[in-house]
Amino acid sequence: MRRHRLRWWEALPWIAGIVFYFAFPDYLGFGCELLVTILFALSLDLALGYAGIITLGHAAFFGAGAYTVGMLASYNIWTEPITGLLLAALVAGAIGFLSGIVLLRTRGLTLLMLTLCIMALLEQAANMGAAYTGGFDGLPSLPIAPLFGVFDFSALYADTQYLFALAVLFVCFLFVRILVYSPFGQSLTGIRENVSRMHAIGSPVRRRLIVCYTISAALAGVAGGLLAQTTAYVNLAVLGLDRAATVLIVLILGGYGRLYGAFIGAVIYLALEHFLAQVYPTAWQLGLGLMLVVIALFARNGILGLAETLWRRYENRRGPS
Amino acid sequence: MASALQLRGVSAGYGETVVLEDIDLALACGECISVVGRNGVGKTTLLSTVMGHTTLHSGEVTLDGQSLNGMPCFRRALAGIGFVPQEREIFPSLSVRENLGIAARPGAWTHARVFELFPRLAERLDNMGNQLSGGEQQMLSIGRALLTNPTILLMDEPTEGLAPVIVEALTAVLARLAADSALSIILVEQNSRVALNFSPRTVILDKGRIVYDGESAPLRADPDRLAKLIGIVE
Repeated sequence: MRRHRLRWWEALPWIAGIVFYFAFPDYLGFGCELLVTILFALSLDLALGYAGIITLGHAAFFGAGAYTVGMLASYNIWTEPITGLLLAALVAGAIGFLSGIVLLRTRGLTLLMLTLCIMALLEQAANMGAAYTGGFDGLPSLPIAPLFGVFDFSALYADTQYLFALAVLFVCFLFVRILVYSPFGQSLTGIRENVSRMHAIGSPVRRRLIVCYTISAALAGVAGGLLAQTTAYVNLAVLGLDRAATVLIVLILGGYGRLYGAFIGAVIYLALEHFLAQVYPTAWQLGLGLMLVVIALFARNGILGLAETLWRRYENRRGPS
Repeated sequence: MASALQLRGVSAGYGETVVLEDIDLALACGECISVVGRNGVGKTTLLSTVMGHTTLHSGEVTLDGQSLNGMPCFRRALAGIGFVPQEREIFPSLSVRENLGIAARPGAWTHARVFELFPRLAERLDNMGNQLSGGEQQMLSIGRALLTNPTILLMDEPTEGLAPVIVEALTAVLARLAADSALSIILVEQNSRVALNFSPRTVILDKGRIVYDGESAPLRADPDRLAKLIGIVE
């Protein structure tokens, strides 16, 4: 069977997303955070999981998107949500493209450090430009225009925010899904698995990596912009190492290079964080840390990788009978 | 006949280490040659040098009269050099269809033509690269290189590690490729029987230098001379 064909179970996350809306109306704010994290992890998956670009600074693009939406809204320059996200993608994508031209000449630890540097530079720039960005305090109470001029982004009820975030995630996911199964996406897999072979079949490796990094940055920008719109707030935390590390953990937890790893990882990470913070408010990170140790030791390809292995074993056992 | 590929006074290796010394070799359009020699004499390095994977210390490599010196590997591939590596290097996470698809460029070699050459690949289209046997991987590696529509095909020990029955099948395929007048081929091969039967011209390498460049027929008729040239016997 061709891998890009839709399978029945691919509808499940979206059905779960709609069920969540009706089943947990009091948790739609949490739901928005979850959807934004999935989208952010998906953008990282494109760069790290498919193209093998090692980065610890993806929050740079998330923050660029968040500040684009935040500053445009805060100064009443642009408050329309859909085009606001397109502008966030444009700005983050431009930063991704320009930094990618320089960064993607390097590999390994050098690349890792340079991605960190870009993020730190942007964070510091946002801090120094406090007159425009709000500095440490950030930009609160962002006025976001009603969706289609009808549906308000209410501060009390997150109905519109949740459905909007779900729709944005769906569109972005479809785009990424089409991309990774296209010849371009397959060439990214080839680059990750054997870069010298890709050179030898005439693939312009660096150009493709830059394009991938730019698209990934733009998607991270959309995630950041979405966070600013759904919370009506943006501050320096969107550009911090914490956020970059968290999204990396989410992806590793779910399984990178698998599209749905972002979904699984984000759901488990945020649900566990939520649950552990209630049970152990002072030491909830200990539980997360322990789980990561277990994942690193016993499921190096994440939860989806483990599930795939177990399924294969089950099928092999069932096969001969 | 005009030279498609030419190496003039080429010394090359890895970093400071020189493996090939003063190599002069010309390959005419549509010509096929076999390169034989013991392990470690520089056969793979010769192909790697044409692909631009080594450090060129002196000399010049030209393709259709145009210098390839300093040209990155992917541009050499786009210029018309196809490479079938010794390790096959199939992308394990991509299916057979995808392995072929990412290499394909417009030209005389189409998917249909590759499947005509390797019907087995058409049956395994949706299998992943890591689900193929050694022989199937070799077919895929050759098919993938052909779909780049090269004018020159470099093949590094395609029969290595394959079962005799697969080697026989592959030898028949090599003969069909050799009959294609649009394709020049350099076949590096440890199996001297396969190499000498493949092309009318053979090059023997020893210690990084060419010690024989001539017809294959006299070597086929005189195994002792072949053994001496290769350096198996004194």
